[in-house]
Amino acid sequence: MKTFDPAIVPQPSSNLPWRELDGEVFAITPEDGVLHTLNETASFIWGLIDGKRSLGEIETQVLDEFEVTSEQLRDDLTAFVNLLEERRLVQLEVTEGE
Amino acid sequence: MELSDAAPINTAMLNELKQRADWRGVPLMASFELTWNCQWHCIHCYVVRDDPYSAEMPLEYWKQAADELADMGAFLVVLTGGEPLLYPHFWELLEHLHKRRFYTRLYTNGALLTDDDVDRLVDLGVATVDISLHGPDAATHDAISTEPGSFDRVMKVIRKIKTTNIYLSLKTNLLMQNYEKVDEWRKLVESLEAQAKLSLMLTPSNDGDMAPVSMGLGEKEMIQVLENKVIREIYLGDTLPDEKAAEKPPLLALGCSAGSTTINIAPNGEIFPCLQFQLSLGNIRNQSLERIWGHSSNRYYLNGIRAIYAEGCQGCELSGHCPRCPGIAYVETGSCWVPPPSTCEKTEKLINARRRFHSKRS
Repeated sequence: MKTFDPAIVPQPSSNLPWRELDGEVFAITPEDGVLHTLNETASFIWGLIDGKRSLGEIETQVLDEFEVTSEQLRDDLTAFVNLLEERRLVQLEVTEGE
Repeated sequence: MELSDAAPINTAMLNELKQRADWRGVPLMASFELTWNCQWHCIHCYVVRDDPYSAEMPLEYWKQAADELADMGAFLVVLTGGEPLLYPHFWELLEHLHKRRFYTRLYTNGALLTDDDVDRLVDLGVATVDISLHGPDAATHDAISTEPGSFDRVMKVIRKIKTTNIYLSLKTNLLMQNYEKVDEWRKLVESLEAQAKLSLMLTPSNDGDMAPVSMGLGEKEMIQVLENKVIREIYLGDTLPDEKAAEKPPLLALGCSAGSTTINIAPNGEIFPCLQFQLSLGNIRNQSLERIWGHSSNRYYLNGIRAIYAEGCQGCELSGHCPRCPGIAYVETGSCWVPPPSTCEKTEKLINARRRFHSKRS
């Protein structure tokens, strides 16, 4: 995803064990046994990644919660979701009809 | 929004998670003893198959326990037994754990796993499989498992697991029946690129019978094992009590998470602080797990177990070398606040063996 695509629907990878502890999410990718921890903001966004919400819907909910410009958030979300995908924490799908 | 640097999970990371879970009162790690039935009869096994907690639960209770644990923040589930694959609803439960995003580990003798089963373990997210491998050859292994053909069967399963991304751990206790083969065992495990877990410590049966402990090595056999440099330095440790430190032994915190971040569920739903600590906190067939965890008076009884040394341990020069387990103390004496006699004896034997080994060399 080179630029922000509101139609993308991210979902946690199918074999990914993860939990939220003390407001922060941690996960272990089974392929390499690597532990990934997300800070509080990232954990908030992770909580919205459910395989149903599109990035556009996630953007709206984050804008309701944090004081950030839409432009800045779109850049941050793009980089964040790309990193999650690179680390095999999420899979990305495009919603039908988009 | 930040992610930590990517790094393979290690003991320090796990300890940090445990500490955070401890602060929040979260049982981070749960073991499910699905059944105490097993097709093998290993000569040193601690399980008592017909004890009061052995009646197997219907699947719905295990699923309910998994749901409650997930909601409480538990992350790691160990499926164990007996032989957990003998539980009739093993695969359905594993599917449920996968759905609830647990990090799952399987303790098994391996013998029942087909190639298709191993692929299914991968699909259902099992991260680690621990297999009991009691020797480097059929004669040694099968004499301990008391199951002819079990070594060949297990080796076939081990080789299949090695074709997957499942982390493989092979473990055994050093017994009179296998100690002479320990170096061959090590070489075999290393050639399989599996984690090797070797232990000198044996635990009494859950009913307090000391027969399994009597299978362990004497001082003479321990010295023979210590002759092997790799086994001595890497697998068993080679430290001796410091003479100066012995004058004022430090009060070391016990690395025990029983009842704080560890929880165990027996086949009939009885809740224990850990796998080797049969102090009942309640039963999930009568109460919710969350209520048991939050309100059991026996859980409060465990408060301080890590910080307070048992009377008799404080001042003992071996305290820094002793794997004191409150659960073993409980099964041997009825109290978790006293030294477990078998552990004292075994630690003393090991330290004496190390001293005699080193004095012989010098």
